Amino acid sequence: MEEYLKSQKEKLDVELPDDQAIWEGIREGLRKGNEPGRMVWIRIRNIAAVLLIGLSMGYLVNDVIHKRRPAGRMSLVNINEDLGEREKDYRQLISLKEKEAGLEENIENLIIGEIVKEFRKLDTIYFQCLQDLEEMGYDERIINTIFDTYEKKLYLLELIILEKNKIKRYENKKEIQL
Amino acid sequence: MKSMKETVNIESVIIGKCLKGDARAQYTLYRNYSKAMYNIAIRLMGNRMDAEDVLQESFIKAFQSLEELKDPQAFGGWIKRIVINRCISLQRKKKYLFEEIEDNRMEDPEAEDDDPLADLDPGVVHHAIKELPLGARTIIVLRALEGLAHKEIAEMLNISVSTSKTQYHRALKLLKNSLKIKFDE
Repeated sequence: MEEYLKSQKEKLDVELPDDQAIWEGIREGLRKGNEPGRMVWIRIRNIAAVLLIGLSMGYLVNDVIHKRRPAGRMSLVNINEDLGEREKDYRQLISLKEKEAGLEENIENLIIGEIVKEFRKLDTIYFQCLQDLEEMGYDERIINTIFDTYEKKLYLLELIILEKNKIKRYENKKEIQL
Repeated sequence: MKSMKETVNIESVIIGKCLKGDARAQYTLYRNYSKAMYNIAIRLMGNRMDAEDVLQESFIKAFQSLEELKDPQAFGGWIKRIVINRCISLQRKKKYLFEEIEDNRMEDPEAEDDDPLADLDPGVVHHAIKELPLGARTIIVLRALEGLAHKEIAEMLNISVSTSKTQYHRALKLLKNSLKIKFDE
């Protein structure tokens, strides 16, 4: 039997593989394995996942130690009615000035464009303050920063309106001269 | 007809191209060995699906680590080792445990010597090997067909050398009995 198997070895290979399907699988496997930087990305992803878990655990432990609880969705009216009213007045005024300044319009003037950029940055500070209030609860300094951003917004809106009026006046003058 | 030396030289050129990522050369190399490797895999695994998985994974591994192959002329033996190792690994993964063959499952060995083996159809023998119990077909493929030493087989299957020898002789007898039954039918 042993001699037969050894002598007939090659003749025993009677089955044919599905070469087309297997080759496609091999190409797919090689393509995945050769994706540029694939392993690097996998490592970065793993490290990022570990850091994220570590960071989350850190926050959790910190909150437990300090018995800190989120204050829920923070709004100044939740702190007291006077603050809420003040904020409402500011918002209404800012909304009116925004319309007057035409912030929704396409801004071509360089100076106005720069002022608008500064105006948008104040939104970031405002949302950061709200987040801080949510995480840390009531804090006088944060409240003051919020109202300060409203004041600065109004100031920047006034600047935009002045600049726009100046341009309009200049254009009118030009038309009259023509 | 190409001489052996020419064939080996052509293969070295193909492997050189494969190292540069030439897909056509990879396909040529695959086709040169796919049938032989597939038949080893199907005899060891006993089914088409596992054999195809082994073949696919083995060639992916071979192409990915082709740089490790110091002698391109040894590709045939190298890919065969990869296929065999993958099969044994998949057998373990699927918990196909090496099953020792008991002597009482076989007929009297003295009556076997008169059987006309030369007339056997290789296709029938191939299928008879596939139908053997896992332990028997593994040891027949590794020893009789692929020529591995008992020491290597013992290490691969986590058995002793003497067990490998005994099991091999029993497996041969089992195969012969199985063929005899088919022949009588």
